[in-house]
Amino acid sequence: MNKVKIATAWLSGCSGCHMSFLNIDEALVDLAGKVEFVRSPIVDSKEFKPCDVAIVEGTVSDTDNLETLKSLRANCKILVALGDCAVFGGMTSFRNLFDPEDVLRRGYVETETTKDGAVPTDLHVPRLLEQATPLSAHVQVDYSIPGCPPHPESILHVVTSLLEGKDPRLPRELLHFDSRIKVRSDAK
Amino acid sequence: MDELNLSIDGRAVKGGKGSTILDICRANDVYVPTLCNIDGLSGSGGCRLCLVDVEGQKRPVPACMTPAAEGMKVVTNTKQLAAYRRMALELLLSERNHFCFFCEKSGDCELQSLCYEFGIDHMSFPAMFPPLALDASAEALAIDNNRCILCGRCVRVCSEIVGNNTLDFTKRGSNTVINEPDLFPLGESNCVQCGACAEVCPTGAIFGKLSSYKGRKAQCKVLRTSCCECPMGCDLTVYVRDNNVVLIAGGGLKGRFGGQLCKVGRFDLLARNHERIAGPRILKGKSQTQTDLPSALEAASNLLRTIQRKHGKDGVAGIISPRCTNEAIKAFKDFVEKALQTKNVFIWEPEIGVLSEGIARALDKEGLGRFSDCKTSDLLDADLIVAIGLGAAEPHPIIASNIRRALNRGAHFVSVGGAENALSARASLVISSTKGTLAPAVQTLINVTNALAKGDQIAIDNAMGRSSGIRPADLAAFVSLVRGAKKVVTIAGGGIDPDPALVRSVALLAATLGKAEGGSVRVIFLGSGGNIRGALGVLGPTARSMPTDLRKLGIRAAYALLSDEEPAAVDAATLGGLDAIIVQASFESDLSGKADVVIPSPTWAARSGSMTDIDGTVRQVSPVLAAPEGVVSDEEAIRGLERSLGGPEPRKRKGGMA
Repeated sequence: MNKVKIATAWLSGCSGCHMSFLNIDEALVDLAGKVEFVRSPIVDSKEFKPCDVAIVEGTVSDTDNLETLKSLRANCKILVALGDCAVFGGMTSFRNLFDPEDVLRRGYVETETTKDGAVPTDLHVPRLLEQATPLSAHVQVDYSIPGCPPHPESILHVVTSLLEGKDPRLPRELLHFDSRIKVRSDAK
Repeated sequence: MDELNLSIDGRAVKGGKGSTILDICRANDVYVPTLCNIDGLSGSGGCRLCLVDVEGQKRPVPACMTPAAEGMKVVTNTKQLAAYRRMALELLLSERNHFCFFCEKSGDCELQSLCYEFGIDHMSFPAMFPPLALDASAEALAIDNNRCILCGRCVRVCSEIVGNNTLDFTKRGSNTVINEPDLFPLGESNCVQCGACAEVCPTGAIFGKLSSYKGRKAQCKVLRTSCCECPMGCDLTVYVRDNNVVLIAGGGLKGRFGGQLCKVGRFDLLARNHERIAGPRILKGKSQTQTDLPSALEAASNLLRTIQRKHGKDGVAGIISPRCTNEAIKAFKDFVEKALQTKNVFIWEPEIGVLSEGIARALDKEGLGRFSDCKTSDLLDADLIVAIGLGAAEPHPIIASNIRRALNRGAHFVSVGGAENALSARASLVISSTKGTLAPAVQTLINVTNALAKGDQIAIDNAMGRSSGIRPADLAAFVSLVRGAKKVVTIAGGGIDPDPALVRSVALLAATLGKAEGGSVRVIFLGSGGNIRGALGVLGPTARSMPTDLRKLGIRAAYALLSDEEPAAVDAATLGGLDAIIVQASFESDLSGKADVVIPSPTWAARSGSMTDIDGTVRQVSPVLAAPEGVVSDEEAIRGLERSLGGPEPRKRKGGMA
């Protein structure tokens, strides 16, 4: 049996969702027998080979993010948005409340620890888009795993459901925004 | 026919006429999701989550706004309705900046919880990301319009329950925000910071600053007690996590006075961080040293004995804070009267609250009317409220809200000789007297009211004005307001001189006003101590408030049970000049630093027992936190002191031998 090909990408995000993916712990061993990661933030490849599932973290915030996302979409069968940023906009879309130029100036010039900073003008540096937006603003998203970060169980549910050909949508107990809250047993 | 028969989801149910479909669904345990609607406030039909199908109607109708009708066939749960509800939720999510991951309400948010219920794992609409302001100008609470869904619960609670009308919708369409109507920041508005809006807010748009990020409700124990900060004795619902109070809520919109709390009960109790008295101390030489409770109690009893031997039994006095429970006050009274054998029990409370009870009882006896019948709820349907001697910050916030609700309904408010405050600004008539005391003014008001009751001709002339110090035009206005009134409530505030004759005439004015409207006597004496009514009840009609100079009465030592009185109110000068002072209190103060013996006392949060509210109702006081190690209940400390003193018996034996 051919292994299912999975690509993961990290756009404008904090990598927390990928960390949470790794936190499926021993289930990774099982998964490794069934899937092949054709691309991920730790696989150094500039191009996208065709794959079955693309799992994408982060918002689309600059020209590079947009190119990556479009290329992934063109090369995958199923695209999954991973985490609050990719699904709703999340943390990285805070900047939408401000003018992009102000945001750049704040980051590159006005930061308290910066001396003689300047906004990069090199053509090779991706340009900031007007807004940081969820994946669905640019491409068709097939499934969503919200959460900041999504709980490992939620990620595992979607991945294994896809492998088994089941409906991967999250049941209520695995659907959460924010991080899943543990309720102490001694409360009440 | 007052009853309706209808069918909900195929089930035959009954409901009262005038009910909405939602009312009947709730009464029959049929779940209909709601966001803008909350049981206890009027409906507004804004969120469209409660859409239901009614047979014969082309489109779904909002259950919260649709009156139920005889024979109606209602369906609450179809795939199509669920799709509409999902769409409503997705529109709400996309309209503002609902970033759950840094929202204080995440986990307790009704919008979030409904999204989970309807399986919303993404938005079908592009997010708007409108840049909206956060108003954190008020001390205790903040409004973040980024998280607002414009359900209007806050607007309605502020108007319908609190009667303050601070919050309203401003701007239009999707730019609508919750604000003070003239766009004043909350901290500069007429907001009383009662936090009712934060309690009903379904999202994180309005929140108490001190409760933020301390934990979710599901992570807390939920405990109930009564607030002892003022005589209203409001119901507190306290959320506790790891022996810390996370959040204080009221008794629910359907509770007493709409479950309101004031800023003190909801927020200040959380903010209170005075230095606690950690353990017992004794003054040795010039400085206090820490000790254990038995040693402190022994030192205290030795001091009291020594003073009594030297200056007689009445050389010592007991002073008790009206914040204590009825049980603690009873134990204290018994201790002072039986073990110390003196009648010197004083209440740590300004005169008015103490005087009023005795005078009202005396007037009861004289047959002038049942003074105890008046309840604070009488304010709600009064059409004339006469307040005498209100201080600047009075009356108690919940009484003020009851007055505002009456005024919003069209009642008249007359302030006599009071300070300027938010209420006097809304008065139909402000009567001030040019005389140094209120007595002639009150007497003149009694005279004109009496004449009115008898149907006599009332001639208001300049002479009457001169003798009372009231402008004749104001007197005439007063007469016309009393003439039109059907239900009068009189409020006596703390601004009245502590002169028994004046307090008596205020009570008489209330009795006369009652006679004029043909009803019973309705007067509310505002006391400041939380359990002042309980203290007066336990100590009896002869209860006295703290005299300014104890030494003048021959008192040389005091045992002061101050509980959690604010340290600022406990200055050493109050008990200055005494030879020995024993302080039992929760917080360090000027006085505790100088006392001969210091005994720790639990705060409101660790008290157990009962208090009597302003209406005379006994309310349960339950501990919500464990007291710090070594802090015992007030009663236990009193009993320990009694044991240490040897109780009354050994004294009798001694007397017998002599």
